[in-house]
Amino acid sequence: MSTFLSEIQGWLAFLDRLPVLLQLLPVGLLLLGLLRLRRLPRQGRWGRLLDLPLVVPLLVGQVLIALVLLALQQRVGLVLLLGQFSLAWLLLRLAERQLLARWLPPGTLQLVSTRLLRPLFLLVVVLQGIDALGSLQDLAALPLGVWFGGAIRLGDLFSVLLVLYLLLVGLRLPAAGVSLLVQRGLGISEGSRRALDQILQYVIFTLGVIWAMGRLGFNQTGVLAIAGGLSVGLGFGIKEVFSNIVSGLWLLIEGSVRPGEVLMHEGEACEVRRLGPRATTLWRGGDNAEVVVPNQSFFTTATTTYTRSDRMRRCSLSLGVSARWSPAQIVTLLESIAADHPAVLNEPAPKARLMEFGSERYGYKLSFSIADPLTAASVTADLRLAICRRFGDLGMDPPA
Amino acid sequence: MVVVPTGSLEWLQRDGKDRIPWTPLLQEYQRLHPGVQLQVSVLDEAHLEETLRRDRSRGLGPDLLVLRAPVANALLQQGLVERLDDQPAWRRSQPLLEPALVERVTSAAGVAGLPVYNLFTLACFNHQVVPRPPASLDELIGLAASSRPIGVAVDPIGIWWSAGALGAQDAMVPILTGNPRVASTSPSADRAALLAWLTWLRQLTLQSRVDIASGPRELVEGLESGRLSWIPCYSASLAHLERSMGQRLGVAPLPVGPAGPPTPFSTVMVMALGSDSSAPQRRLALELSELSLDPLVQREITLQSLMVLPANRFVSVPVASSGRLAALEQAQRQFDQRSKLFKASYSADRLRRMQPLVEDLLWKVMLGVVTPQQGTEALLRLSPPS
Repeated sequence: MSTFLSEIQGWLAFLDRLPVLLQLLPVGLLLLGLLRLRRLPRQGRWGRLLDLPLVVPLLVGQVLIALVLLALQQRVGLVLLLGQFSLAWLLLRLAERQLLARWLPPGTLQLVSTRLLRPLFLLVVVLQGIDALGSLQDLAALPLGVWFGGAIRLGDLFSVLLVLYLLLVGLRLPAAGVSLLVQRGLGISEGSRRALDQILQYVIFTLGVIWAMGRLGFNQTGVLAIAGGLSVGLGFGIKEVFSNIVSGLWLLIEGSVRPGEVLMHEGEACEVRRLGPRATTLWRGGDNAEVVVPNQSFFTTATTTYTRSDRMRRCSLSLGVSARWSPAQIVTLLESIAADHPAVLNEPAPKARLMEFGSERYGYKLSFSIADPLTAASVTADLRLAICRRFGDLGMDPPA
Repeated sequence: MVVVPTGSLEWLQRDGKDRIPWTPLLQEYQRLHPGVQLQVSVLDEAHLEETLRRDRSRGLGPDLLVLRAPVANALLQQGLVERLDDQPAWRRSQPLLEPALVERVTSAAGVAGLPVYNLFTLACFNHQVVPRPPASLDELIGLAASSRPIGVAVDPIGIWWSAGALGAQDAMVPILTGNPRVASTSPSADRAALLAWLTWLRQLTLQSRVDIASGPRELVEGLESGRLSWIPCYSASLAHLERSMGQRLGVAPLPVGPAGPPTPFSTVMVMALGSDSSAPQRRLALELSELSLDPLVQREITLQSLMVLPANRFVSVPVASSGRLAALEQAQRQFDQRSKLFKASYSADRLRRMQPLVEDLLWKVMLGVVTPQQGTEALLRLSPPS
């Protein structure tokens, strides 16, 4: 670490050189000026210029600075390097907005952009900066010590971490593509496709970790011995985390809870959005909330699902109607109201039943089937409204 | 400070411990200038010009470069390093150097760098397998015939030393440097000497226990792994070999031949001034380069590394106490007396152009693709017109 720090400290010596200052100072002042300008209120035609991305005037300014320095027969390599970074950033932004935005949904674009493209851009800038100021190869050769029998150098560790990060964030699209191909080829269900997607990501990441250990020269016996020792500690310390991970893997393989399925959670129908290594993300349509449930809870408690064999859901609503009306008439009326709703399935047909007698009101129950279990609440509300409206039209007392 | 190791040997320099020759100098400098931060980087010789041009365009070039004398000469001609002879430090240092050494860093453009130490080709062998190193070329073939594998390569370190031992160096100098043929030799003598050299090379590789390596790295790795028992080695690789082989490593001068001693390859490592330094940085760089010729520092560089000989002619080398230093000094003697190739001033461009052609031809002769006679004629066709 001290070598690394002294390397960085050594770079400051370049500021002692006039050609370096002549390049860095104007670019630094330009950047500061542009940042101040952006805080000004936008007024008139020129105010629109302030809406341009910062990198555009920065790039133009860098080109002008380079031209002036060239005219004065000064060095411009550093300004051109910074200009390359600005240009690359501009191209990246354009690619995100004009190209990727057409192909990817906003959520995926956001993920690809913030977790993959922009970190990669930053990495390239940092590495190029280090290479310009010192020697990237020398820095990569810095020894970090011996870990699990392998002599680790900074470059090896960095490349391994980079590959693992890319696997972690960059695997989603390829895995989704492969699972889609398999779905089209073999005709598997949507739930199975999503499960395959997840399993592919886990398998490839695990292979990546094994590759990383091999690349770093870890002694497998040493790793196993330490893993054995750690497992005791882990068993006591973070057993819940491991329990959730194992549960998640088991759920995926078993297929009892899969992304895309609809199940009841705390009395409400929710759709499984993502089966993560530790927890499952559910979407609750009622309040558009995402609920994160530890995997272990699905593993140890009974779960009601509406999408195990098919997505149909049988719903019901209860109501009381004045005893003055004929029960047979009410039953027919309720069934016809339900049958008129476009979301209610004809087969199995809606069924109304007389459930109880009262001195003033009789109790009825209307059962009906819908194709999308997540719409149960809205269809039920629609039917209540339709019943009230029809009863009113017929001059009947409102139901209770 | 940027260290530029010789061509194909940069892999040795990536290991920090192989910067041993510089350690005493850097320690002494830090002692004298505790406030100065020394940053040492290693650059590949193959990409040196490109890297320096790029750094120069940014104003980020190094203050000081440690590199081979011919490379420093070439960089000076291209304006990528500063001439040293108009600096007072050079006038103070020049009397400490042999005139022949000064000549190797001097060209029409001026003095390209300050010589600090010399490296030479030696013979490295496995003590456990080869108790006594071969003293002659015949003994070397005898060693290979006795089932002890030896390694050679067609690069300057790997095989060119044998040209002198077989009398072919006078014929090879004009081919490689483009300089006129030595007046004392005749075309027929050149032909006969080249034929003798190529015939011996062919005879050597007819032994089943002779391995033709692709370069110094393969030779060193072969000796380390025990696959080879004798190799020609560059003294820069001795620290690396000693770490991996320990007591098994033996070092000796290269074997002599019927035409006399071998012509070992030698490199003078020099310190050249970068062209981007500010005035205080230039002053510190000159102080560091001048300190490198300090007798105490030169002695420490020699004794601690045991793989270089000092450039300061007033520093005595304790050869009696070290067989390795004795071998190095003998290699230096052989080089001073015999190695006309690397002592002559020559066009670096021509050498760079001719080296792969000559190496390819030697490769073909050793593998039997062409006969020694055909190889001789092909080599003579590469000679400059007289």
